Amino acid sequence: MNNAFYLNDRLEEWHPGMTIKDLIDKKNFIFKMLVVKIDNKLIKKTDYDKTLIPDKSSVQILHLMSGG
Amino acid sequence: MQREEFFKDHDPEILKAIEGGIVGIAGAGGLGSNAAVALARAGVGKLIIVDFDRVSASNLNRQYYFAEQVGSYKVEALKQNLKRVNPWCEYEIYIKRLDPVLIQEIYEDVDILIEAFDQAEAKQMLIETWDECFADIPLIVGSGIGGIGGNNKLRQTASGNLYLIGDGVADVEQGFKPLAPRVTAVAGMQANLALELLISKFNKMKLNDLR
Repeated sequence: MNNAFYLNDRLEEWHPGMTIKDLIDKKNFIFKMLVVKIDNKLIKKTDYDKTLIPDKSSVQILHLMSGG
Repeated sequence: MQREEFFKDHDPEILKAIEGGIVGIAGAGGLGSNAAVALARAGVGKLIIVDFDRVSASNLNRQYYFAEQVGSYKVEALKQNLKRVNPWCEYEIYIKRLDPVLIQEIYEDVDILIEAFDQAEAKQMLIETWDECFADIPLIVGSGIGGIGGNNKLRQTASGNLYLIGDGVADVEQGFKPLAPRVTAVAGMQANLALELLISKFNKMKLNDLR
């Protein structure tokens, strides 16, 4: 596996310099609140634009819905 | 009614595993109030419930309150209801709006936390705080509880100690109004997972004792 990473267990093409924010925009995650993890480490919302996605990593992005 | 009578139909081994358990519940709305009642009936030793809000008439379509409790603080009304269901468990309540500092203070000793907030922003704040302070303690979040039907879409997604329960789609802010059947289904799934995790923690402790 070269230049690729997993997003929610699906293989995605990896590019150098790609941030979490880039991925969220590209994949059109429309909800304003998300749970984002890279290799099971939680990424804070304030860090999305400065967190680089490592090559061969596993990224998990889940929607967080209002309602309780 | 005696305690023994109440617990007569419980599996004694399971009761042993959960009667010393402490489950935190953050929010006492549709998810929190219904999950609390389920856990009280199951016999969890102690529940720590926090909510700042009062019961309103529009809550009665899904939350475990009664008409005469409209206007009361939710946690006070819920404690009354829980005591009527099972007077042998301990119910610790706080009329507070949870923030990162209070979350750390109030939930320091829990075995598991059930997230039952309304707003997605508050859910995110709790998840980030929990990850910083109590990453080793399971956190069970409700996400996607609005609407009607879609039983087969309700599910549990795990990521380390973080569990998301719901359909992950039906956002209340997008017009999926919450109603009792689906909200109580998700609350029941949260409570069910809490029991499962309590029992597995207890069994691990027992195994360690034997070594």
